[in-house]
Amino acid sequence: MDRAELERQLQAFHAASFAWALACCDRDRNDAEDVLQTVYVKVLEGKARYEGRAAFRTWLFAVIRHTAAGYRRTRWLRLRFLPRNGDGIDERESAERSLIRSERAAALVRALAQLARRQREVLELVFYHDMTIEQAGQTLGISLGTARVHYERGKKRLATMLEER
Amino acid sequence: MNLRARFAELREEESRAVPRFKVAPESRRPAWRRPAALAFVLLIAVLLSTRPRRISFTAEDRAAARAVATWHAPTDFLLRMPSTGVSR
Repeated sequence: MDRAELERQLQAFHAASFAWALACCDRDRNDAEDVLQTVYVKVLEGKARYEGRAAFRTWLFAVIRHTAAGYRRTRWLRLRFLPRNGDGIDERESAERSLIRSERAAALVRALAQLARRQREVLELVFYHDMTIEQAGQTLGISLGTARVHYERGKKRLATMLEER
Repeated sequence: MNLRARFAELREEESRAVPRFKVAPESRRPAWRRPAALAFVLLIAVLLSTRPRRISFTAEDRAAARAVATWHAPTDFLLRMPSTGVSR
């Protein structure tokens, strides 16, 4: 796939990629934007290469997840030594809060945050991005059986939490 | 309201704030920066580990050393023999 085609593909999945980056960055908008930009550069410079073994979106989501995981690991370092224009965490949190206006959506986000990361990721991929459990497993690099277990447990727990609210 | 509908609502909310698609024209970090930084750190580490350590003595240290060198035990006289000094 040449650069122009890659750019077209990235643009086509941009909205979904941003939503997935948000989910991988615990819904921090600034982190999601940084992660996505890093992913685009990685893809276009050939540091992450699509080899056609899975659907483009599945592969792209796996790259986003991997990049976000690295980003989370160094987050404390960046917050400690590289404050963004002196803004800091409060402003970033308020920016994220402003993204979600409805109370029901906010309640869902809060409930998702209570789940184990793997369960949350599988549910986001299946319900938010309309992937099959198998595709979700491929994105997360886990077997279908494992993905199914995370899906079932996560769904049950999420439903319980939402009913309680 | 089922889960799929709840997620659809969240997707609808978040889709309003998707940033514009843009790609940085080129990598913000030149390719040579990482190896150069690594080489620099290694160089500093090597310099620090091989740096000769200069030991400096104060006047007090020197006085203490002299005192130790010229010290004689009070019982030294017991070791003296009549022939002591003949062979010197």
